[in-house]
Amino acid sequence: MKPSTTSGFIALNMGNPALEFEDFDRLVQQYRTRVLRFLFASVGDMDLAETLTQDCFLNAYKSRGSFRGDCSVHTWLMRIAINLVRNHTRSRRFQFWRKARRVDSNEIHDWPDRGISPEDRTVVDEQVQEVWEATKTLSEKQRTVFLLRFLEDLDIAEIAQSTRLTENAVNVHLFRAVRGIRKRLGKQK
Amino acid sequence: MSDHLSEDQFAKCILGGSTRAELQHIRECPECSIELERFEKMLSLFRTALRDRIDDRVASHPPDETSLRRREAGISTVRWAWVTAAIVALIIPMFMSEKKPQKVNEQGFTETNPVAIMDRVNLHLSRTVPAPMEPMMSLIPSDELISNSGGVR
Repeated sequence: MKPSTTSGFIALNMGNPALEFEDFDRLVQQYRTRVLRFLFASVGDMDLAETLTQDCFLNAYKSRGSFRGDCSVHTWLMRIAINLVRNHTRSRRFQFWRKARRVDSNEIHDWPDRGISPEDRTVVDEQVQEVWEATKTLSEKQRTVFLLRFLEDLDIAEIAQSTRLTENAVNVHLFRAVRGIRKRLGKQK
Repeated sequence: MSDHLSEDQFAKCILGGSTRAELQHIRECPECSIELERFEKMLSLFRTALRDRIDDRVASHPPDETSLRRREAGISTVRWAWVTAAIVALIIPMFMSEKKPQKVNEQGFTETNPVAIMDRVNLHLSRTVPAPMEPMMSLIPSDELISNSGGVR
């Protein structure tokens, strides 16, 4: 019997990830949040992140025949998303940085209200902005592995599959990313 | 020499690659443990803020499935437009090349005067080589040229 819920559908197909492509709408529902989150953190612009998310699923749909299930669907989608970010930053490098700088002030203060006091919110805003700004000073690979590790909670093997790097290379980029961000943030005065 | 962890040791610690001695130091040194906690808290805030932001966005903007299909359909339309253009580009030259001989034929049979027709027939029969081969004749050396250059007849 075909499950009616998304979770049931995914759970049923856990053994064969290729089957997840049979119902593409459900796959979009299942992974959209994670793909959008990574893309938003990478490009710093919600509208652009939405467009790239659509591109990501469109590319996944078009090349679903080449998916052999040797990695998880999430990892595979992340690989497509990373390529999209790379293509975007390379083709429109200058526009990207200019726009990224411009939207920071708009996007960063648009966090949802979670019932914290205005004072605490200001502190949180500042700290989040500091970390986000710091990620932008990293190289493309360092930023990607940092976001996959600390935002998406992927383990080293999954990051290696997503980025097509070796696990050793991922560890090196991650180490440099953390060191770079700490250097940027500085020690507490 | 500093008694606290270096930046490299901090990075290793955050990534879970600390040695026992480093872990022991963090447990015993309030300054290093506070610094580590502060940094981990900032990372945690960053993660939570981004997750909340995207969760709210996704909740307020459900996935536009029709948009994805439209774009897929749009790509198909563009692809079909290119295929059609390619076919038209192939067919038109073929059609034009078929038209040309017809034009020649039409010109050839526009003569209505029997004398003129007979003149054309005579001209055709008096040719030493068929008309299409006439340009080739210019490549064959004439008798004069052969004798002047010392060629053998």
